[in-house]
Amino acid sequence: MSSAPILEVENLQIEFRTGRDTVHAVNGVSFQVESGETAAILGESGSGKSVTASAIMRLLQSPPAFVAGGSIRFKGQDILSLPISQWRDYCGREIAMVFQDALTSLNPVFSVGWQIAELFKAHGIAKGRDADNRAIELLERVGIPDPASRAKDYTHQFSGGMRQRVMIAMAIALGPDLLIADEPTTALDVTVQAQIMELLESLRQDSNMAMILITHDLSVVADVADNVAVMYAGRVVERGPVADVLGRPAHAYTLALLDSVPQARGKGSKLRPIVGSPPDLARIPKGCAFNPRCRFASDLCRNETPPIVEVTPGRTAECHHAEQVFNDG
Amino acid sequence: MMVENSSISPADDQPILEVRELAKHFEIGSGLSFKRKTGVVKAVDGVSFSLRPGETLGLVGESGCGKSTVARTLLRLEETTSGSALFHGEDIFKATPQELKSIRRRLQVIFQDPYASLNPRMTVEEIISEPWVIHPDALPASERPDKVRALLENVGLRREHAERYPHEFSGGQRQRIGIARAIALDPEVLICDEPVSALDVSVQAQVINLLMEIQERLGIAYVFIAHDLSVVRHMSHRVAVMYLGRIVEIGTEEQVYNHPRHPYTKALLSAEAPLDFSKDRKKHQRIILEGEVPSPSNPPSGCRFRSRCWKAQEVCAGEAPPLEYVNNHAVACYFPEDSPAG
Amino acid sequence: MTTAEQEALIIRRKTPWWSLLARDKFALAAALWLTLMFACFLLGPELFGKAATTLNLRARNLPPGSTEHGWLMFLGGDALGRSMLARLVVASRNTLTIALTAVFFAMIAGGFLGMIAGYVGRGIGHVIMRFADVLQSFPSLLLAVVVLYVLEPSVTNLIIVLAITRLPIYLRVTRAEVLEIRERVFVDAANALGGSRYHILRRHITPVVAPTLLTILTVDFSIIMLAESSLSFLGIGIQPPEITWGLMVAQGRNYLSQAWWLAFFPGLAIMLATLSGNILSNWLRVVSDPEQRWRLEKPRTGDE
Repeated sequence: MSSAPILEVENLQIEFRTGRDTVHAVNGVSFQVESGETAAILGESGSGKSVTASAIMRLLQSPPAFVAGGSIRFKGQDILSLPISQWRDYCGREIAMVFQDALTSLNPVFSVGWQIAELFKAHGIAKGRDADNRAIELLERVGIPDPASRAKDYTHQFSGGMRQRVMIAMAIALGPDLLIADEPTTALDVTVQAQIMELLESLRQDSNMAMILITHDLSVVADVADNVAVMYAGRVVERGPVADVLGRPAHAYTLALLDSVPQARGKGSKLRPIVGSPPDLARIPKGCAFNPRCRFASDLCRNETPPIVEVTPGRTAECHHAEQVFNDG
Repeated sequence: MMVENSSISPADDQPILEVRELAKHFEIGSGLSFKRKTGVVKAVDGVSFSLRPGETLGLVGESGCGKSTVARTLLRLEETTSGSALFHGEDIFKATPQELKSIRRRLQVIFQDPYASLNPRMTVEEIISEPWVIHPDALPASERPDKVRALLENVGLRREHAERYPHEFSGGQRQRIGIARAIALDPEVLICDEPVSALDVSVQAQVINLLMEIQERLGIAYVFIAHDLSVVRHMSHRVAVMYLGRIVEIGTEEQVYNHPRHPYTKALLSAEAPLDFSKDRKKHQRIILEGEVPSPSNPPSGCRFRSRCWKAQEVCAGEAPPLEYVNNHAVACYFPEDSPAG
Repeated sequence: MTTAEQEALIIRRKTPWWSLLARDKFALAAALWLTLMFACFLLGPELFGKAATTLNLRARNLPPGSTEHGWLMFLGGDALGRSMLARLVVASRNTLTIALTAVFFAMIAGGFLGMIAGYVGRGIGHVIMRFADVLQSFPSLLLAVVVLYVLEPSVTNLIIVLAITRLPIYLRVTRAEVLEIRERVFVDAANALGGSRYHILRRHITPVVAPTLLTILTVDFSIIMLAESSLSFLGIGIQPPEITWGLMVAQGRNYLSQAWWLAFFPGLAIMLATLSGNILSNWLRVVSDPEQRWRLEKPRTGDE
């Protein structure tokens, strides 16, 4: 990779301390995002993907959440150690986020146009009429028909897909270099999902912004991402270019995940589900966290944390049997 | 009363469930007054299909297409506006409370939300025995504890789980408990209302396999409702595609997925990116539909899809296109794609 | 099943309720206090009936804390020189009979009507709710006065009147909860199994509503006792020489500046009874909820 990465997450560890247990939501996650690329974080619920995203945005409530270790560097600056007042300058201008649930993420008592204009005012970029006009421009850019009149509407007057467009407009308003999209299409219908992904992709290309796409949906990853990090039980178990990782997995979990997905094109044979369920993050199994559900598991997996293996250049897997999986799958 | 044994033989063409012109309209009143109606939402508007013993009929569509309302009316959790549903020739919608109780014994349901569908204050044993508490003649009380444990093993749980409470289980395990409860009375038809959409991919596959295995073993017919095209394809023998309260296309899984004839089916199928990870994967061409599903309180006249359809012409705004069958493959469109078989 | 799941679902034995009660200091104290009250209720008038009516003119308005007139005078004497302690013990029977019966009937009737209003049908629901509106908009004391003037002021009538005035609260709470629970999916599931209305009310709705009603009941207990004392004060409730804690508070009010203990101790008794009831009902609520029970089962060894 030529340029310096825009975002580097290193050995990030996050715990939730409840009265009952300590939940290890993220256990040493490392990855980089190059400027202008689309990086996907793929994982099921409880894999720690959303917690990682919230940590980058510093949205975690502490307590109960604590960063137990590691660092997050954005353009070389460690953002976890920034005072919150300075962090606010980054927020929106440098890094912005699109949430899954647009209805609860937007304020229901202000018009959509007002909320976007307020962003410009708060950051001292534009005032009065100018801010309103910029808001309308933005709404047009995200494909909202008749933006001048829709700007006066409230969130409940928008459909699910339109609302998500408004959220995207707010996220890109200040021209961030990194956009984090946390399950941006999960709450939407299939046909609308396609529209939103198309929009995100075209916006990203236009402004050469980097995007972290957090999702559980393999087909979304296949569709738009360049690189992917697969997460399981709070760790990145495999990462590399999408075509390599999902085309020919080297981690047993990735392979098993692909085996368990039915496909609309070509009716597959019987599904091969992963047995059992994801581990309780307060009691993560010893050794490799995936070992109780893994068909490759050996005594080694049950006792020792697997090393990070470089499978092919630029592509790693955290599996004792990476080679076997790679050749088998 | 004995539960009939359903057979899976394809020769048995007598439908077990036949839904004709089912319609469900919700009236929206304005707050205080009871009389004034401000509008009617036609959630389901003339849906007909039939289900043969042992087969799976997939019902697929986006949110607001009325697929869940179909399920709720078939279970009589909502009263219908018009239409009929013949279960072994007996109309579910006109059944008296006694008749309904006996129908419900043979027509069961699995709900979407595994967290809400189990009473948190009951043990798993109480939950799975509830069907026999309601239908005491189905199984003598002395045999119930053993049967509960046998059912738990049948759905991939352990006997000891009977004494636990729902909150001690994961989503997938709860769905298994829901399935155990649904099959406790040996039903002939199971209505599955989005049974896997609340689950993670890896767990989804477990439940799908379990459902298919149960069908093989017990010969239960499924009405399988989902928004996920690939899951529906995997499960179903025949598939009906719904849009805004109507079925736009119905046929075998092979016909609908490989040779879709309705433009909406085509768009829906193309919206989902294929799981193809080869280097040239970005070339996936999809039909991106404009806009979103219109509100069912104010649907377009004629063909309801015409407001988003690239083939729409004047005729589509007039009379709604009827479902027309060619080789058991029906489509409601004036300009359908050609049927491969002619 | 895999080993992982066996591990995840740790086999744990259910701790019996009495062991849980022993672990919770407050709940235990509350339970002991209520047991003591119940003992007074059962045996009080038989053991202390005489002491409670014996006049000792030298002990008139005797301040508490002295034992020179015997241990019965430890909490002081009243205006006629009767033992406060004995009177408190004896009054417990009347007090608990009236207050408990009244709240109990209010809860049963209110809960029943609330379930009908919430579950059976819109039409009858409206009728019941308007009935509750009427009851609530009518000042309850006035209602009681009117009814008790028309009827005889007797213990039974007093209980009926008090129950009726408290009924709307139970009715509203029950209806609100039923309206919410009936929309839950597990109720749909029971319906789809062919369960009758009665079955669903009994198996699914009552177990959720009951703990809430029980909590309200304990709070209502003190309100009823004070309402009863107001009625007694107006001369249409309990008549001396019969006594209740409420009546003792009312009588003691006249001497508040000279002998505070006349009103204070019965007031304290009412407060402690209510507080204990409340603590215990909250504890019961947690114990009866499978999702909350662990909070009590958690071993108390350090913090984390």
